Amino acid sequence: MRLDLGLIHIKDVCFGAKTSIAADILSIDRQELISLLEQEPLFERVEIELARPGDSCRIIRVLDVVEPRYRLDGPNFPGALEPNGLVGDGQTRALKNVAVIETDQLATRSRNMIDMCGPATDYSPIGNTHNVVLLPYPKTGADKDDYRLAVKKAGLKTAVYLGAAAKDVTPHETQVFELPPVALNQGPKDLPRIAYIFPMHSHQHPTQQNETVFYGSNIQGFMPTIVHPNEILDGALMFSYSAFTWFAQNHPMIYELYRRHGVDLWFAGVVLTVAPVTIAEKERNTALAARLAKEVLSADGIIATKIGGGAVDTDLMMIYTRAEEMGMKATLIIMERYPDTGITFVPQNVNALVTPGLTRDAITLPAVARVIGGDTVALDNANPDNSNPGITLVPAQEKLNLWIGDIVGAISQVGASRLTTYMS
Amino acid sequence: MNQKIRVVHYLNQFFAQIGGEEKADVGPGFKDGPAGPGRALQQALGENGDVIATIFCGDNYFAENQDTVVNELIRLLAERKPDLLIAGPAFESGRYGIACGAICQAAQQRLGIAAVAGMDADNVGAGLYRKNIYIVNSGETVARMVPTLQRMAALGLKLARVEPIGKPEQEGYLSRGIKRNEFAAKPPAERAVDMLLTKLRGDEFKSEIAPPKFTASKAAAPLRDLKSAVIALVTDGGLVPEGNPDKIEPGRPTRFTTISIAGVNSLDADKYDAVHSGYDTAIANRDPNRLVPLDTMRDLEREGVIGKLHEFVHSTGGAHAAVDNATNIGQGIAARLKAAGVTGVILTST
Repeated sequence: MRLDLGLIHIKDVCFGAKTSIAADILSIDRQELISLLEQEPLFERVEIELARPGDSCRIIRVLDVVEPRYRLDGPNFPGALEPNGLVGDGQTRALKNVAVIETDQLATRSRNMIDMCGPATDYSPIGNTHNVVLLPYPKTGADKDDYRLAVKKAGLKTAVYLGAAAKDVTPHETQVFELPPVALNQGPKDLPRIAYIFPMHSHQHPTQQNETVFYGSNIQGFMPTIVHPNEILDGALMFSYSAFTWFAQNHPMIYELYRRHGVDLWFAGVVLTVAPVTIAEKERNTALAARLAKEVLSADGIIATKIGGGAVDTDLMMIYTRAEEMGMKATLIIMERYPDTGITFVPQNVNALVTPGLTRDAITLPAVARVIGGDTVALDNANPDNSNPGITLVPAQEKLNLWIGDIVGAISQVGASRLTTYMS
Repeated sequence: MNQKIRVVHYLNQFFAQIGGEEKADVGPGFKDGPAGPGRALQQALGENGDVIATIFCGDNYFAENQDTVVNELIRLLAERKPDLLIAGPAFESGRYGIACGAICQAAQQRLGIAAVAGMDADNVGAGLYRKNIYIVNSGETVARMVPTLQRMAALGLKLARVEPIGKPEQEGYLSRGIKRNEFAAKPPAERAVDMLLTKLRGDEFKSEIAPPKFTASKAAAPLRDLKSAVIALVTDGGLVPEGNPDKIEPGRPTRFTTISIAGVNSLDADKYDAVHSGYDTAIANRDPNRLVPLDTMRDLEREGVIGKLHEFVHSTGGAHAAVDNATNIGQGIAARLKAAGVTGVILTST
């Protein structure tokens, strides 16, 4: 299966009379987009703002981030936005350097933020993109969970609406993602076959009944399965929490395995799974995931990453252990959260861990001229001894002392970040 | 041009040139300017700082009167308005090492000034204070006095000027066990593939996260007779009385709460909450008995299956617990249960 991702490198984004791309500038008909999003009955009204790289601007209460995409040959985000169908093949247009930012106007305690200037931009790709920010204001009495899902849908809608402007634009470059069916996916004998095992969600915070995570499914009861990596890149997956959909579309691990495919490894395929809540389910899913990598994908080595909180560490360690018992070598990417806690669940046999960074490491962000998304930020009071847990609401425009993990995209559990850690 | 840093040096009676072991019971005092190794410290500071005073105390006197000595030394320090306290190096002397650690920690906390201690990595003071203060590894013997003071001066100047502090091996301090971020040459996905390929080749590689060190505990013998057993209910699922009076943290717990269940047969949803950041608490809030099975235990008690249910539930939140805090909480709960004559415990986790 082959996906041709046509990249259009956007130089600037502005509001204009018609949504279109000319001379690498994306122009957005603000009113048309607002009207499209205001079709959602849970929204009282919707505002759209733009934030450019280098602006003295902060975006707060970020719920999700989506790259504008448009598929020429099939449905966009099937199951979640458009009717059922499949993705990962044919031609897709991607607007690079542009991100749709969803803000959750009921999440006053959210600390997810994006700075368009200053030190935060060294940590995250999202502070360096032209950001189209959605501010959907809920109707009085709107259910918090239903509203959250409506905002996520608005993000997808916007990504497709903007991506469609690239329908007839010749891409600057085309990235080809191609992997044949498993039976035919044979490389030279000297290249190790590497599979990626991907728990896409941890049900420690369960999905809602009507939530759309993978092809529109709420993935409750999801069993490990082989998927084509292109499906994850092309809109089959939107994360529920703890990760931003932009990192599924630009999945760092899948990109890396493709990049080195045929060079120093052979990309054997992807096993998609979830982290369930009971021990019995965890034992079953992790063993099955490792079995699929070994016996179906014929992998010599596996890499596994996680999405979610500390509970998924267990699943990762079980995947690692099962994989090695089956004769494969394993490596994990596992995010660190607290400077003095460590990863508490590391069995003695686990010796190959990579960290994308420590979320609770302090960073000071300067005052900014403009804030999009709200007026206040809920700062975490937790100090090293946690003697004062809770939050304080502070003006969002001012200088902020917060955690690296509060910066959207600074640390991604699927392997994007510029960080590692050391013991001081 | 940086302003000259005002430095006070802490020494024991021997290095402050008061006297040897026979003077170990001398009380806290001070001298103007550097004393003994203070001159080497002054040389290491050069133009960047001045050793304005030396404070000292006898090792025995300090050990026997730690709190009052620290108070007095802090008073002496505060009067001199230093930017930096340098303590030791104490090498392998345990009493001296503890004194250096204690005065540095107090100066840092109470006066908000930079502080650096020096001692051997195996000094008992290092074990006590390395988490909270910077301790330069001096090695065991006084032969390393000058290079140690040079490292202490360099690190102290950086701390006093609030400059970024490098890694332990660069700066020469004992690892505090505190993780920090740093920029890496390659993204994690690339490093993970590199590590896996290296592992597959059978070559050497280094995990970026070391496994935690736990002290093993011996499991108690099984209960021989349930009918005479006193059973306690304990949870890390964050059960609290309505309003969370003990302010149990939803994550990163530092303490536990004790809930009386004397005369209570079932946990009423209106009277108890679950406070925990690591799982969806909806079900536990709807029926707290499913988090802590009091209703069922009362049935078993009534039926005589167990001897007696302990009259208190101990509860904490288990999300992201630091190992040290979790150990303290566990020991605290265990001590109470033991003292109350509890013979068996049911732990419900989430």
